[in-house]
Amino acid sequence: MALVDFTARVLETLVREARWLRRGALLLAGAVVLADILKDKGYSRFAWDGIPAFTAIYAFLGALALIGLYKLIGYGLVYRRPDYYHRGQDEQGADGHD
Amino acid sequence: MTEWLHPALLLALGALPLGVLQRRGRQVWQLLLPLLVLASVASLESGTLVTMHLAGLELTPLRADGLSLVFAYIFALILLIGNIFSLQVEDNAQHVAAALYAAAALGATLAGDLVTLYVFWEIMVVASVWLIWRRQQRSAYQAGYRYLIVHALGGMLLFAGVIAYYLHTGSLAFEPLAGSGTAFYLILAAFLINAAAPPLHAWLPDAYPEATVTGTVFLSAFTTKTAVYVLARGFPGTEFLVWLGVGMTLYGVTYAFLVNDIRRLLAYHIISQVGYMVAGVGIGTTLAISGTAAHAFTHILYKALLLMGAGAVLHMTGRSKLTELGGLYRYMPVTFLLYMVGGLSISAFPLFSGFVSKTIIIEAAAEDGRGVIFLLMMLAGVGTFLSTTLKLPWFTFFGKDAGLRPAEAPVNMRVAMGLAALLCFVIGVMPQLLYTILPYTVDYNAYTASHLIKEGQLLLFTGIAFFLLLKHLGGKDKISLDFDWFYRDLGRRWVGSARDIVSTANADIRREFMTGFRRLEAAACRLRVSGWPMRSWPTGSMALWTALVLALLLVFGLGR
Repeated sequence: MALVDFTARVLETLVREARWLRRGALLLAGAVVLADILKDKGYSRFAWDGIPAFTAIYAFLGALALIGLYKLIGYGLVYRRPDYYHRGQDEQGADGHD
Repeated sequence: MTEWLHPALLLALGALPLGVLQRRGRQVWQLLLPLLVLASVASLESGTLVTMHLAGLELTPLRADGLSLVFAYIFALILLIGNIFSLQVEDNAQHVAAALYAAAALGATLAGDLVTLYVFWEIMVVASVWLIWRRQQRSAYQAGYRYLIVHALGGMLLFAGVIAYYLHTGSLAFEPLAGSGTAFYLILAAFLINAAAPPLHAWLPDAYPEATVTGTVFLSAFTTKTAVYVLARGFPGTEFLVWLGVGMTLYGVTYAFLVNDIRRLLAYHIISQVGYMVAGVGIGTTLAISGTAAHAFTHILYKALLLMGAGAVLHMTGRSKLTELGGLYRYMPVTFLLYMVGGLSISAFPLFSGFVSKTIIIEAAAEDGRGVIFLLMMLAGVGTFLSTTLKLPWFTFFGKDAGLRPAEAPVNMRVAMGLAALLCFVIGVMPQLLYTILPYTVDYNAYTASHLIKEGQLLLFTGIAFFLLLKHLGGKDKISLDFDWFYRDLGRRWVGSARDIVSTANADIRREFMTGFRRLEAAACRLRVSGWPMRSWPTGSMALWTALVLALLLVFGLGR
């Protein structure tokens, strides 16, 4: 129980200091981009290996694209009411959209 | 000495006492049995081969080599962790089912011929479905039956494939299969059903979240990973699997983001992670096959850890939907931290197990000059980090306080999660421990500056995108249709329509028949009442009818 309480207190402190965590993460993100620009990669297997901060840009844009894709597929195609499969037989003919 | 002591046989026999032992005795045996099995597997030397003759067939029930032993080790290990997690469960049927399921998975992994493989393949299905049904809810029974039907189909395909293979080659040895022919495709389809490869995957996210809290942990470990093993054994270098695997990685992460149930979200991530392994099998180089085996090993550990975390939340709150959870970090802080170890592992965060296994497969793709595959695998990594390590824990443990005030998970659950987390971390910092048991020598170092910088960028910038769009990313109180819609809705409607047509036709035919029959009955009645058939016929009439009959006989020549 003491371990649980201690862990909870540590987490509470981290949540209170979230802005410092945010700043630290942003600083670290800047640092890895800088390191990528400055450091010799040691290999050039693909055309993009020479582009500075390629992975950072790819990850950021990829995340945005995936989130957009989720929204598109979800609202445009696959989202249904939670009881969709449990409706009565008579209602099965309806398309189930909200 | 140990050749006759097949680990699967030991485990199957050891499962029987779990049906009758109660409380402390059962708990002790739950811990002791996996340790005995682990010792039995550890005592197998690579190259061990046990053959026997049965009904004129040469069978190899035990084949231990570099590839099969990696899977055997982790199967025995996860049985121990899963048993610790389920110590408090007073349901003997579940414990027996879990042990038999693990025994069958071990048997399939160590099988050296296709008949033995088929037998254990089917035992896996029959044992595992009880882990779903024992939740004893209507939705679990229904999902269990769907699971059973899909796997029965897979079993039939495998059976037909084995017969076709035997007729074609005269051999039952389970070795890499020749690249064409009916047997090749039948067996491949059966394996891909168990690997949950789209569009044959819907049984997994349908059934696993409906299983018991502890059952899901076992389910996540055995069926799909046995499929990965048999694919690696039978179909290395099959080009089609590279693209299928990459498709799986993206399909899984896309659907994982769409669902509201936390265990379903993690179930979709099984498809995604198995996708890396399927792609590794398809690439087929020694580095890729070793990466596949390594990733299966680490995946079983961190996926079990993630599902144990989600299961602990369900066990303590009775809820599993993102829209009904939030703010739990104050009440289940240890569960949260241990879950995060699993999250960082699956996301290939440096110092955790996924980083030293998943990157081998990505590196194998790069070494093979597959640029598009390399980029798509990285994109799937972005999706994995977004949903498993950011979205799920954020909206479960942080986010809007749902007003839940649960106690922390029971001690045995935390110990099981702690053990899995410890292994994720140890493998992450000392990857050589894992690399030494892989089928081929691995000349790969994950901890180079380039790898660390690349992975750091990938994770940090994905995180930035997540927090920028955070308010749009919460769970939605909806379900997401998947391929199971074809048999759960469309198929049911078709069957319903066919049933309506048949039953309408049946009713119409019966009605018409009965109408005719009643008319006949009425006519007969009228005749009987009128007395016409029974009246006396005049002699003139009789002579007339006799003459008529004779005339007809003459006309048609019947009298000749």
